[in-house]
Amino acid sequence: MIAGNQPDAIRPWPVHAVASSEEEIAEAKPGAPRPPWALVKSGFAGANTQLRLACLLWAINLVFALVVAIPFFHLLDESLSRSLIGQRSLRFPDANWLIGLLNSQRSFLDSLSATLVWIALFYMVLNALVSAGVLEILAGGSRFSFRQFFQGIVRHGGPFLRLFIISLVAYFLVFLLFHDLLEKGLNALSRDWYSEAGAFSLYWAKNILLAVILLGTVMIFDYAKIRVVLENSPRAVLETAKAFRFVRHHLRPTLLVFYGLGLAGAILTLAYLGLDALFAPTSLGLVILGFLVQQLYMFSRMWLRVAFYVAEMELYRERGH
Amino acid sequence: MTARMFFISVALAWLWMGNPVHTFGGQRPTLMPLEHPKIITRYRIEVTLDPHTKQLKGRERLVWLNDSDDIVRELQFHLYLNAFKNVDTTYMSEARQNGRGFGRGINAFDFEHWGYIDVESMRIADGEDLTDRMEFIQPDDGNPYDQTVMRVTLPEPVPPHGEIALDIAFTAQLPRVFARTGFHKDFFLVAQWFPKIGVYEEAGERGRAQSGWNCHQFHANSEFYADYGIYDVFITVPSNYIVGATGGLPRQKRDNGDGTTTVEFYQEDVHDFAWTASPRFIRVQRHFVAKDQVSDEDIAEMMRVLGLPRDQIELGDVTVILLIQPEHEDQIDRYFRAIFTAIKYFGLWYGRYPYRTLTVVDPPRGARGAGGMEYPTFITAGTNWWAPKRILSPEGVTIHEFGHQYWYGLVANNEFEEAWLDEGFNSYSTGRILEKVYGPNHYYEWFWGVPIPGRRWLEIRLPRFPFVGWGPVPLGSYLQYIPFLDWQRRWSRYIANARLDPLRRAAWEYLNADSYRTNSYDKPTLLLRTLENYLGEALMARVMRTYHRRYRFRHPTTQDFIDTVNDVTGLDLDWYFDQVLSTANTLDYAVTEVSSEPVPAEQGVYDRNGRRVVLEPNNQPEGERLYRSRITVRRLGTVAFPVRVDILFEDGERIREHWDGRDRWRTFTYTKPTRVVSAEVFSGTLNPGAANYPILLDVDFANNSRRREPDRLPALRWSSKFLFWVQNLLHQLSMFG
Repeated sequence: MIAGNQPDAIRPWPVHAVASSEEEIAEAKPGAPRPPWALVKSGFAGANTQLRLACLLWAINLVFALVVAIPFFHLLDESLSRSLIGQRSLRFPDANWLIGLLNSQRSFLDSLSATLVWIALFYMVLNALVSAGVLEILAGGSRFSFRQFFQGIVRHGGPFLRLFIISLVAYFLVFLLFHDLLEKGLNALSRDWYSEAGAFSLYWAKNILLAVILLGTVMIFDYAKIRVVLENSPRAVLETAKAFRFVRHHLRPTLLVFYGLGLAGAILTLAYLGLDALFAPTSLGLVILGFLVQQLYMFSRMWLRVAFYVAEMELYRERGH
Repeated sequence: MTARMFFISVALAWLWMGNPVHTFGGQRPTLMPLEHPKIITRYRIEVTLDPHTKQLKGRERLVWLNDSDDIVRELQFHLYLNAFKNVDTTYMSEARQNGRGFGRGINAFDFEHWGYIDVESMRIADGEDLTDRMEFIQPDDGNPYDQTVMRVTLPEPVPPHGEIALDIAFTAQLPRVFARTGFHKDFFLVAQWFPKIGVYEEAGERGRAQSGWNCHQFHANSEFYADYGIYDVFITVPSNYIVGATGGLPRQKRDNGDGTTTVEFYQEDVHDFAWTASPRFIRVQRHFVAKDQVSDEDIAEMMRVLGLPRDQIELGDVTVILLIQPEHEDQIDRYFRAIFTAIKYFGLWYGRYPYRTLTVVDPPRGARGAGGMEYPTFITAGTNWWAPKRILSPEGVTIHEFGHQYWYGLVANNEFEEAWLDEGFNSYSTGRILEKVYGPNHYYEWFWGVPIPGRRWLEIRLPRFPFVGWGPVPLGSYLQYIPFLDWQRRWSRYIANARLDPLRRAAWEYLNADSYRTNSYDKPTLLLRTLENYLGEALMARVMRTYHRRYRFRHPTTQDFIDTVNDVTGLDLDWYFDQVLSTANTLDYAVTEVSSEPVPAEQGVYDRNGRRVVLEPNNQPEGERLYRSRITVRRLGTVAFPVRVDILFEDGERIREHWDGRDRWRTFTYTKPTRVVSAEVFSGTLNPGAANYPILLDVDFANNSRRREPDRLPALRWSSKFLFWVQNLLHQLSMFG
């Protein structure tokens, strides 16, 4: 039997690393699970102590995106820089330019989307490994170091890749059942309906169900990763099953933590959209400012992702026995 | 005068007066405007709808006039409903190929509800039974499974200018709505539903080499062609059904006492008859009162533009009946505004709407295939229950289908053979009204039933296996309002399909449905707008008005339109029509060079005032620095068109150059103390003072202009947005990693 299968093998939680105040440290008594809101708050505090980790995630994200964006810049440069249509497209895309570009650059855009798919796949695989490093650092409670980060990847990379493959199968099944098959059923059910509003409500009920189940699946795999790291377990399938059981037994707090942090993400996005709507980048200064705001937003999302891991890990530590 | 000479004189006079569309020795006589068409067909039909079996039982009395000098020995009939009889009919076979046909193609067809029509008997009124003489023929493709055209050989021929009356009994099984006609639960849209006689054309008529029937099979991409007539139709339906039909207001209504009601509709001067019935319609009736809708200024403006007297501009009142779905009740005003707008502008531009009524049908969910169709005094539109005002629907489709009252209904070209003459002219007219009254439309994406402003620009094309039926997966959309004008929507399809086919060909001879749509709707719109920009708005208005007036209640051809343009403008524009109608060539002008170089100092040996002078670069007198600017415009496409080149200099000076556009390139050179900033190509025009318009047939607008110095700001702005979008996409996907 490997150590990871024994509850007492869970690595201890270094409270000092994530609690944001003396009060919270006091609140975080062993055996007294904190309410979900406190865990969310604790997630934020933990993420604040791991800004370098968020920086690393942001940098990886930016580098991957640049691989696709640079050829796109050259395409636009060729299309817009010499033409007066460029000036007319500063505020919003000129319809003639956009339509013409989509038509004349169809093969380029097709290859761009294919490249994007491969890069996204690679990014997801890499992200599975990076998550191993991130969770290793969070589990250790220490500040970011590349040494520990890579140790995490080496130690848990295998199980995380297996988890990635299992998760793909799970998402596919969720999509097949709750989108494809369900939609076929709804099509048959509503085929003779006159009511557009009725059919609309039905399809949106299905969409909401699909979103809830997809997010639930994401959450289960988050806990599976946490278990792999905390239990030091290489058994991806088993940890997935146990994560599922954990979520089922602690449905309320897991959902509240998950959606609490999700709500923070939604607020962040709304704030960005508000800022974006304030100005149209019609000068170089405004373009640069817009770029900085965008990158700040992306960094915040990485920070939020670390917060997710911190809060979920804390929840698991408190209630995982 | 001998008897023979007298006879010849009378015959010639008759030919001249009675057949004005005929040509003699290449000369076209001026056509007198018609107030009413020549009535060739008179139908009296009694039909009963069985809402349970979805069947129609009908009896038809048809009187047909042989309006030719020929002896006609056979009759030909359209049996359109047989298009939906099996998968091997010409219509269904074509619908299966390359996505031809309506909406989602053949996949939208309900294979459990076929449609067909059985002619149970046919006899000459009070005379011989012709039932055994009926046979199916396939004049277009010889497809033995196609039964959409029927021939009947007559025991006695119909003499020139003689009539024949027939009694026909038929049963029609309606398909579930797929394309235009059929049922959906208790909604019925009954079109192309009765045995309908074809058009007998004499040699020379519409360019025919030999006399004969023009009676094409029903094709996936074709519409209709028929003679004008009178329709008197008695429709029996369950008493709780609301009925609408060609003719609009029922002539009489009779309760049969057995739970059914018979409603009579009557309409003269039309070439088809369609009707609808459903217990669920909300029926709204309003009146287009011309004096309320059309101001004196509107009339004065049109009098000025068209040079016509007031009585030829003024419009008549129209009763409009809207049969709308309860779920769309909140869009009643939108519908009526669109209808009234259409009645007003089509009337002002082309002549008053000659009928007293118009019926507009709003089909329900599940019967959208019946929407967006035109029949005389009766149109079908369509909308969604969630239709933001920025999406011009139902407005666009309503105005378009009303426009067919003019381009199809009144000017009744052969839609089988020259679809562009109605669809194209109508799209051109619709676009002008939408732009004038509603302004730009906006791109929307339908995201699981929710309209979201945006334009998809990136998608993944999945391999066929294992993703059969998935289609492209949307990857990126620009989720903001992008305004566009109607012609820009058409241009987007045109540039994708411009090279597939020349415009002039029969509807079923195009490569695929995209080519049909492009060549019937989009390219005609653009070529007419291009012509308008060239001629000027007022001259184009006179062209269109004259064409409509000449061919109202007639069956014109493409050549008739070209002749009208040349007549009205006094120009020979065949060079234009030859290029854009008979070839699939494209038009593309580009500014390929915009440069300014300092004029080099004089250097060398010069003969001046009888003396020889040697100049060195560094012993020049100080003076104003001059630049030599070169602007080169190239014709990259095959189609040639006059262009105007607008050149801007650093001191704000603008120079406008004209080029006939025929050579492959033209360079303009200037020596000035300032440098050139940019140059842009526009459409040439007969009016030098006219505003600048792009040549709408140009397949690439981005190369129509060029700056001397590049400006990378737009590329930077959109690339940074794109970068941000990719970052978000990757981050979102990492959630699943």
